[in-house]
Amino acid sequence: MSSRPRPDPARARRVLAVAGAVIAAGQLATGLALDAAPAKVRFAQGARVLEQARALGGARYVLLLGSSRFWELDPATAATVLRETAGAGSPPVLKGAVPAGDPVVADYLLERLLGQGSRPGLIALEISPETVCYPTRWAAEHAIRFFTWSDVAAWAPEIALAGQARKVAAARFTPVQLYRRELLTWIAGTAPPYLRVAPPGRLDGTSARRLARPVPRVEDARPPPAPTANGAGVTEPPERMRPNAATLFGLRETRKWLRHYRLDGGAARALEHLLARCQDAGIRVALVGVPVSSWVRELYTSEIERAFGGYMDRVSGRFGTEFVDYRARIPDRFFKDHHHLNRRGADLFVRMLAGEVLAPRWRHREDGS
Amino acid sequence: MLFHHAPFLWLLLATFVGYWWVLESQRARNLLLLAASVVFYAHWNPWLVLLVVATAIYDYRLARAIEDAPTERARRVRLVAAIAVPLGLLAYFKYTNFLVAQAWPVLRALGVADRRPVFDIVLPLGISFYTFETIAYVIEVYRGRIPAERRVLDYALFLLFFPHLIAGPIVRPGQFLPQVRRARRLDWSRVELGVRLFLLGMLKKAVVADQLALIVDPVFARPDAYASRTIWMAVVCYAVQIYCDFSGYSDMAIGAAHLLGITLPTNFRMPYFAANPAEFWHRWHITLSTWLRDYLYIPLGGNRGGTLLTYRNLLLTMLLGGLWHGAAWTFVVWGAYHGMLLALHRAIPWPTWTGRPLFHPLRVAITFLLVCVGWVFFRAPSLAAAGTVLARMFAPAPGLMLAPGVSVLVAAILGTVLVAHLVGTFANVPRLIRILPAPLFGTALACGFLLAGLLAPDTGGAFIYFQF
Repeated sequence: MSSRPRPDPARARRVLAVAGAVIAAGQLATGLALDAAPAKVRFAQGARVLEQARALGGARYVLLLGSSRFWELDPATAATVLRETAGAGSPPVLKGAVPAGDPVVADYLLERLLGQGSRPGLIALEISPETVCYPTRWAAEHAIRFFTWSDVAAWAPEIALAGQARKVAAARFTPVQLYRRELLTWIAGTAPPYLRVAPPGRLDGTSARRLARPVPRVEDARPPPAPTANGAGVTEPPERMRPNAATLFGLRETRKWLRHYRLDGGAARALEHLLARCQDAGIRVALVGVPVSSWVRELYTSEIERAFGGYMDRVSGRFGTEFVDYRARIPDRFFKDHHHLNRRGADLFVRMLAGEVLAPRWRHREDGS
Repeated sequence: MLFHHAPFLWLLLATFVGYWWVLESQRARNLLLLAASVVFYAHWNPWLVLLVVATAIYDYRLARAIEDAPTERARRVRLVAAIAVPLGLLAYFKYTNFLVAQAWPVLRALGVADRRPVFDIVLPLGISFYTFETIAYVIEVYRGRIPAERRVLDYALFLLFFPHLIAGPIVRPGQFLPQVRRARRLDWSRVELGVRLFLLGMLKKAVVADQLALIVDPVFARPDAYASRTIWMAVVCYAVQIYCDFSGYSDMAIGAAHLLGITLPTNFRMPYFAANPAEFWHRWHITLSTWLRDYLYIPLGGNRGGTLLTYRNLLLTMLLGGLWHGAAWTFVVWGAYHGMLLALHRAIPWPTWTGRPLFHPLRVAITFLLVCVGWVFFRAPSLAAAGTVLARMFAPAPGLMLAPGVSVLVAAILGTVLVAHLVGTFANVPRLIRILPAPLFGTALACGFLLAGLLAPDTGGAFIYFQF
C-alpha cells in the first residue's frame, strides 16, 4: 500500500488558513455579485412585476401594490370594472403584490419602475397597522430579496430588535448556501433540480395533473351576496364563524407584531419616501386599509387605532393622498384564514376597490390632467 | 442535527475551540465532549437521550460486576443480563410492530383481537449502533481482553461520542477508551486531515447521494411505470447513492473525530472494487462486518464445524445482519441473499485461471452486479416492489425513460465517482496532496466546501443509515 508523507503541522496551518480565507472571500464575493445582479436573481416576483410593467410600454396604468393579502385580487376583473365605469379610456391594471409586500417593498418596486421609465397613473397601496409598525416583521425577507450591505447596515438596529439578525446574517455571510437555488438558476439558466424523472400517470393512462385538480369546496358552490348599494358591505351571517387552525396561528403572530405597538421605523420612512416620489411624479396614491377578519380587528386596540388613524391623516395631508378603510368591509366567511381572502372574497373586494376607489380617482385624474 | 447542516457545524466549531483553547485538563475536555454529545442527541429528542445515558450506566455497572464476580457462573449470568437488556430495548423499539405483524395471523386465529394493533413507537436514533457497541464492551470485559472502565463518564463518552453516535462507525471499546484516557495534543496535521475527510464526506453526501436520490426515489416508488433502462439506471444510481451517503457520513464522522484528537476506525475501502462477495464484506461497512464476525459468526462456530455448519453460520450471520438494518422482510431477504452469495463463493471450486489479473475487471463487474441485485431488496418498499424491479431489470419492459440531458448528467456523476475510486485505489493521494503548494491545496479545499454548499439540493435530508 501507499506510504504516507510525514506530518507537517506548519503546512497544515497554512492550508487551513488559506482555505478559511478563500471561503470567506468566496462568500463575500458571492454576496456582492448578488447585490449587483439583476432583480430577477434574488427577487423573481418583483422582477416579474417590473417585466409586466415594461410590457405596457409608455401607457399609464393602475398599480395594485401590496402583500399576499392582495395576492388573490384579479387585475383583469379590476380592469373590467374600470372599463364598465370609466369607458373606453380605462387603463390596464397591474398587480404588484408580492409576499411580505409592505411599504419597503412598494418603495423598492416604485423606484425601479420609475427608473425603467414606467409610470403608473394611480397606485392602490395596501396598508394596515402591521405594515407600518416598528420594528417591521419583514426585514429578513427584504434583506434576502434586495437589501445590499449598506441597507443592512442602516437597518441593523431594527433587524436586531425584530429578532431577525440570524436570518439576515445567514443571507450576508453564507450567501452560497442560502441562495444556492438562485445562483444555480442564474448560472445554468434554469432552476434546479436538474435530475428529474417524469412522473408516472395513473395505470389507466390518465394524466397525473388532472388528478391534482382540487375537489370544489362547499363555499365555492354558494355565490356571495351582492354588495349593497351604499357600499356598507355584506351582512354577516347571524352566528360568528369559528377560527380554523391557520387563523389561530396567524392571530398568534399578529398579536406578537402588535405588542408594544409603535408607529415608526424603516417601513414608515419607506412609505413616506414612496408618497413623496409619487407626489413629485404626479402619481395619485390611495392608501387602502386592507380587509382583515374580525379576529384581527379585535387585536387593534383603541391606542393602535388612534396611532394608526392619526398617522394616516398626517401622511394624507402631507403628501396629498387619501386613506380608504376596507378593513371591516368583508365578512369573515370570505377569508381563508385571519387575513387572506378566499377567491370569492377577493372577487368581491376587487370589484369594490375598482368601483369605489380606482374608477373615480382615475376619472378625476383624467379630468384634472 | 445533520452533519452537513449549519447547526452541527456550529456545534463542532464551538466544541473544537472550547476543547483546544479554553479547557486544559483531559477530564474537562472529556466532559465537554460528553456535553456536546448530549446536546447533539437532545437536539433531535431531549427525552430519548436519557435512554442512551441509562444504557451506558447500566452496562458500565454490569461490566464492573462481571469483573468483580466471584464465580464463573455469576460472570455468565451478569453477562447475559448485560446483553439482554440493551437487546431487549432494541427489540422493543425496532421490532415490536414487525413481530406483532408476523404473529398476527396466529393471534387472530386464537381470537386475541379483531384489529391488528400498531404501536406508535419512536425509534431512538442510533440505537442499533450503540447497542452493538455496548454489547461488544461487556463481551470484551467478560473475555478478559479489556478491563472494565472505572469512570462512568468515560464509558458514557464511548457510547455517546457525537461523531459516531447516530450511524457509526461501530467502535470497539479497546480502540476508543484508551484514547479517552490519554492526553491529547492539538496536531494541525490531524486537523487538516479531519477537515479534508469532512469535506469529502460532505461532497459525497450533499452533491452525489442527495442528487441521485432524485432519480432513485420516484423510480422505486412506481417501478411499474418505468422502462427497463430507467430501472437499471436507478438501481446503479442507488448503489452509488447508498455508498456515497453512508461512506460520506463515515468520512464526516471520522473527520470530525480527528478534529478532536480521536481516531475512529475506517468503515469503507472502495467496496465496489471487490472481486468477490467475501471481499465486498471486507470493504463495505467494515465495522459492522467485523462485529458480526467476532460476536456472531465465530461464537456460532465460524468455519470450525465443517462445511455445512460453516454455510449455516454464514447464512444465519448475514440474515441477522440484514434484520439489524430494519424490521422488514426486504432486509431479511437482502441479508439471506448475501449469506447465500458468501456460501456459494465458498462452495464453488473456482478454477485458478479465474484469479488471473486479466479477469480481475470482469470479477469486479460481476460482483458489482450481484451487489446491485441485493440493493434492490434493500431499497424497495416491499418484496412485491422488489420483484417488479427485478422483473423489469431482466426482462425488457417499456415505460418512462430519462430525458437525454438527465441521462448525461447522471452518467457524469457516476463517471466522477468511478474516477475518484480509481484515483483512490491506484494513486498515492496523500503524496499527491503534499506535492501541491499549500495555498493551492487550501484554495481547492475552500472551493470544495463552496461547491458542496452550492450543489446540495434543497430537499437534501437525513442519512439513509439514520433509519437503522
